[in-house]
Amino acid sequence: MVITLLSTGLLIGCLYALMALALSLSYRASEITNFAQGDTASLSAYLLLLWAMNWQWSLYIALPLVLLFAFGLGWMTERLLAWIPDPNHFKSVILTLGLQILCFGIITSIWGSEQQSLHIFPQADLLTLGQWQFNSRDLISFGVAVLLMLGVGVGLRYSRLGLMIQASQQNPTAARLLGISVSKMRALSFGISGMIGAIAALLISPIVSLDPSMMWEPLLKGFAAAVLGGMRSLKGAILGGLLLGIAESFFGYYISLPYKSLLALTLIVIVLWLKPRGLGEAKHQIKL
Amino acid sequence: MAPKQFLKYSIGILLGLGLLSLPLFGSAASIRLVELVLIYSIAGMGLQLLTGQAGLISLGQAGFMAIGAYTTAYLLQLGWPLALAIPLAVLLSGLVGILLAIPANRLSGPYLAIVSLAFGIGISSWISHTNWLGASSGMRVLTPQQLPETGLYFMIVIISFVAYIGASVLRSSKWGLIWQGIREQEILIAHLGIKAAYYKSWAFVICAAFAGLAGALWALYLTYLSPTSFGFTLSISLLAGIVLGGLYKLEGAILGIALLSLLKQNLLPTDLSSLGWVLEGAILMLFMLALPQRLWQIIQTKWL
Repeated sequence: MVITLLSTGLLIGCLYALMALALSLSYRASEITNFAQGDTASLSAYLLLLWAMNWQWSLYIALPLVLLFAFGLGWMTERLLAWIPDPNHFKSVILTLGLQILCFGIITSIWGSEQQSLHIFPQADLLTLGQWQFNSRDLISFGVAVLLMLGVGVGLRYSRLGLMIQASQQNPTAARLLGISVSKMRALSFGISGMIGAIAALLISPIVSLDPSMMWEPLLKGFAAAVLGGMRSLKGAILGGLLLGIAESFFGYYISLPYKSLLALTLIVIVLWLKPRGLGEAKHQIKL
Repeated sequence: MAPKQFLKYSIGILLGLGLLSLPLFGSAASIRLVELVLIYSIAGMGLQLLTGQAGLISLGQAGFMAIGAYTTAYLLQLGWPLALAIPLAVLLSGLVGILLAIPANRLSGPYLAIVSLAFGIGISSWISHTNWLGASSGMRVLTPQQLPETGLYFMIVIISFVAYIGASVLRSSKWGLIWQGIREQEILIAHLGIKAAYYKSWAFVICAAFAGLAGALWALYLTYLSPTSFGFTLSISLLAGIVLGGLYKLEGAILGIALLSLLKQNLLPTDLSSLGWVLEGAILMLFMLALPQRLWQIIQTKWL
């Protein structure tokens, strides 16, 4: 039983980790929590539904196009945020909320609020490994998520572009002096976040099936995971996501299944109450 | 009396007379609509005090409305009189507001938004899994027999008037000024020896109490409660309303909410009601990008 709980927890935790990774990547770039992360991702998933299922495009064309769209949407979010006159947290939060409800409205107006299913994954088979059984679809989404996280980590650390992104996040002034376009790097981070979010939405879609509010819960879980791991740390966000997934799966089995989704919400409130800037964040600073 | 004040009072009196005499000539549908607008306005006034006046963002307004509504419904089921149920609903919402205020006091900006969002969604999610509150299938509100249709209308009109007076008194009192100070320069307020955390907590509690009041009335209006009516979109609608009204003025908040609900209820065809969300999203974004002001500036410099 423990193994089953652990593996389902790990699987869902991977998806939370992806959301947390996306949130924390854009947070590091701009100190902005992107509330639109969830619904822009659902919009991308719906576009894939339209292109691959309704219009019968090949998945090899539709999928890259959708990812490009998600990247563009993320990029546009950052450009909009940069366009706010005398920006502050308040305005940025409300702007991303506005974008979120806008995407939600667009999805609901076009596709309606009933659930739809997206069959892009191959039919699920049960694989038997020793005494445990695994769903092949789960294994695929687990693999994609792990590869994506590794890819982002390696890309940020070892590629030139990744180092440029990191430099502009850590010290914008110095990066600008070195000739890095900080605003472009910021937009790039948002674009990558958008893409990660879209992939998370596609991986979640076989579990919850598409509906306009499908990404609200994962977004909240992503927030919880990111807060747990410290918003600025990518490793922390991923670890937070995995831990949250496992904790939820055990909580659901041993304590109470219906109240499972409250766990993440309670965690957010308690963690931020004890550590107002999230775990693993530097000391509370007030900018004068 | 200064002309501006005179104008304000005469508009207020005319509006009051119009509202009180509406049942004489208005249709049932128009009465329902006015009731809805007034209920939203009460919740919006609380949000205006918190978000507009004190600059503290809250995405949990719908959760507090749910507390008010479910408390009223539950107490009415137990056979309590309405005159006790509503004040208790307001009190309970305010008390839960303290629970939000404790973590929220230490937070700023995006973290506050996340916590209040978690709070609001947590409340409705808890209700949808709690059996004695009807879980996800909902809960019937036993409206008292002695309350006729116009009785509810007059009650809502009078209560929202009292709420408006209360909110405007609060705004112009010392508290309102301190809230404004917290919005503009929290550090300065702290340096003046004022305990900002204390006043921030009260802002959360008062905002929650207004939402609870609105929720209690909404329970009587809906007569059937379901957790989905208190979702995240309701909080966003209220926020969009007060942003449309310019954030900083109480009257603006009421006007914005009224305008937005009229637009959504009347102008949009029913099969396209989800365009209301698109509208709200566009309002939130455009106002944060200050497009209306920018447009106005362009118009002023080019043509005026």
